[in-house]
Amino acid sequence: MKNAQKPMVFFKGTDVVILAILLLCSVLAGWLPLRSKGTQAVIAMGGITLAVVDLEQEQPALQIAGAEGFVFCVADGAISVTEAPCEAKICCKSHRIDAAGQSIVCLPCQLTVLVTEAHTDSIPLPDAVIG
Amino acid sequence: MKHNGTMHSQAIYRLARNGILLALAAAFSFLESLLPFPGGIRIGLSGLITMYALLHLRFSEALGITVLKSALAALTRGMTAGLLSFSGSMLSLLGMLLLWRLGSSLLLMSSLGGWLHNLGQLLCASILLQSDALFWYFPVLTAAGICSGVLTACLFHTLLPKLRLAAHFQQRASSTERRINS
Repeated sequence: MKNAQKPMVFFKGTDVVILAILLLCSVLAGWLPLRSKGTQAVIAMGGITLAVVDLEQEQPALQIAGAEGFVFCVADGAISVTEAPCEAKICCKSHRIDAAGQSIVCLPCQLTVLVTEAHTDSIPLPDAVIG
Repeated sequence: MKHNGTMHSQAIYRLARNGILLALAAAFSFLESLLPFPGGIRIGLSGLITMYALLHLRFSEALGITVLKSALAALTRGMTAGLLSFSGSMLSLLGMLLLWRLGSSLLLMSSLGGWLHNLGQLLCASILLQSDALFWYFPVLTAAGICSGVLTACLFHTLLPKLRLAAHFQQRASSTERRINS
């Protein structure tokens, strides 16, 4: 069945309101929990924690066993990825992170660097997987 | 026999047209991968093809182009990129179809399509990583999706009348040529 050719207007006045509400809701949901500064970074691969790094200790070229090819930089209470073994190197282009809840991710290697407040030693896993 | 011939030529025309659209989508995808946006953000030029296919072709054709575009992404950029492309494109296509049926404007349909594309990719990435660590990136992806959707809608609105005009002149030239030959 071919789609019916309906006349379509380019723009309606309500569009701006809908898009502004969507943007506001996503900002509130995504960034409100990030107000506190993190004290440690949990480095995990495929959901398995490899290391918990103290962000107070400066480490300009940190390498972690199990995350070969990755080099992390811990400085001024923030962490960043400086080298990665994948081709895209999107994680290296990410800004350094320091707020609890922020993360740097390398999808091809399934690596996550999640900044948390103290005494969290693993990334929260889902309670159940459906489907 | 003549009827069969017409149907056959229509099928060939559709195959060629959809092949060109798929090639264009792949070319747009490659071009935007060269642009140095941070955090894996893309401007979503291949959304132009998805929107054209949805609004002007059969839904099955739009679906086929979307699926094959993801397959091309998997072949050229790896399975993770293919899965991300598939989840984002499918959610975007189905969302835009629903919005179109509900009588949405082109700008809103395109913007929410861009947002749904990023949302689909975020959900897929969260499943692959088995973590919700990416959720803080959601506002950035929302803003990027809306901006890319607005850009796509503006390009679509500007380019489509010109393409129609070009197609009209080409049709006239072909019919004149046929008359001269006969």
